[in-house]
Amino acid sequence: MSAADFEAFLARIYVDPEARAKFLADPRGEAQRAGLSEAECVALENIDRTGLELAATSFARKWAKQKDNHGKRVWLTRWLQRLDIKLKS
Amino acid sequence: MNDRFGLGWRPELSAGILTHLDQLDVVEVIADDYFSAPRQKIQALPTLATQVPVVLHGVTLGLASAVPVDRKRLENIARLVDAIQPEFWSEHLSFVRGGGIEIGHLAAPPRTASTIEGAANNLTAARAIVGTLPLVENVATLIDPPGNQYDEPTWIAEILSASGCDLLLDLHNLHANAVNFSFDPLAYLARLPSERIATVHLAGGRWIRGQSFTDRRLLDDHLHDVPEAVYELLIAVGERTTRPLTVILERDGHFPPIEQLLDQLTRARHALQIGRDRRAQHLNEQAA
Repeated sequence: MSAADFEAFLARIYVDPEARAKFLADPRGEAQRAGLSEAECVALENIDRTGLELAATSFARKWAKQKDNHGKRVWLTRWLQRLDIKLKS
Repeated sequence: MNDRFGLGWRPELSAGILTHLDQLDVVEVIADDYFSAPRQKIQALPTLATQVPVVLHGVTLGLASAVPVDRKRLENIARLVDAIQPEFWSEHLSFVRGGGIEIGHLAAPPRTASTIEGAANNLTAARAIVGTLPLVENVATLIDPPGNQYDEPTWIAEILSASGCDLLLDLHNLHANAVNFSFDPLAYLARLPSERIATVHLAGGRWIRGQSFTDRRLLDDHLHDVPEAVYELLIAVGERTTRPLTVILERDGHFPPIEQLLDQLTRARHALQIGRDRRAQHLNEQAA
């Protein structure tokens, strides 16, 4: 397996609550099932659990904020478009 | 020495920035805010650049990764660099996606030979597409990345050496990592190639708690004032560096009156000057 696979595994447990819960219940088993190397499995067995919990919460908040900002931009764009149509009519 | 001090450009701060340009030497624009912006919004940036030097800062390239950087995102940066002609552009030493999953923010990658090589390759690609190398920035992390082979200053120094990039040293990121993972930030600074430090970021953060009452980490949220410890680190940077520095204060929300941010820049000017003076004093003592 490659370093890219290890990063993919990290990305999954950082953002997917279900994958993270399965991983925390059996870190070595999940790492082995993902085909990671022995050194990577050991690293994941010893993962900074407090850090994982806090980082995952922080990433989730960032995603929620980005979605909220995107929603506001779409609403504002549509509102400006409607205003433009009214001004022209 | 012509050190420069400035603010991160945010829509909420734009009026305050434009009315206080006499107190700002530089403004930093977030590149990603303009990737899908209307043409008029992008055209405003060259106009801004005629009034104050502008630098460009990216947040979603994910350069420090074994995965090749997304060419489309580099092309977006290239278009902006072409339109704005910033003095320089910068990005983080982070990974932001893996296996097709977007993390949504800057994640610290495992500090390994693979991510050093990946970063060097991605920075070569960045130079080929954008035309210039970015400054690269150290990131804050709440999790000690699993699988590390190197400590952070060694890993950063290796990437700087392999890529030829200069460093954007974020002192609040350094402070946060130091308190979260119990290392001495001054020893960290001493191990960075000081001649490669070109720019400094300042920001603030807050403590957050895990499930256990004793588990807490400092979050670099850019929503709070610069803490005293970061000014102390800026003094240390001034003692160690000889080239002129560009110092940017980042604030992403909970915006205070602009005067409060300008006061923090004044404190930063003072701190850096203290460091510069100490260095001059050491040199004089050695020469005597």
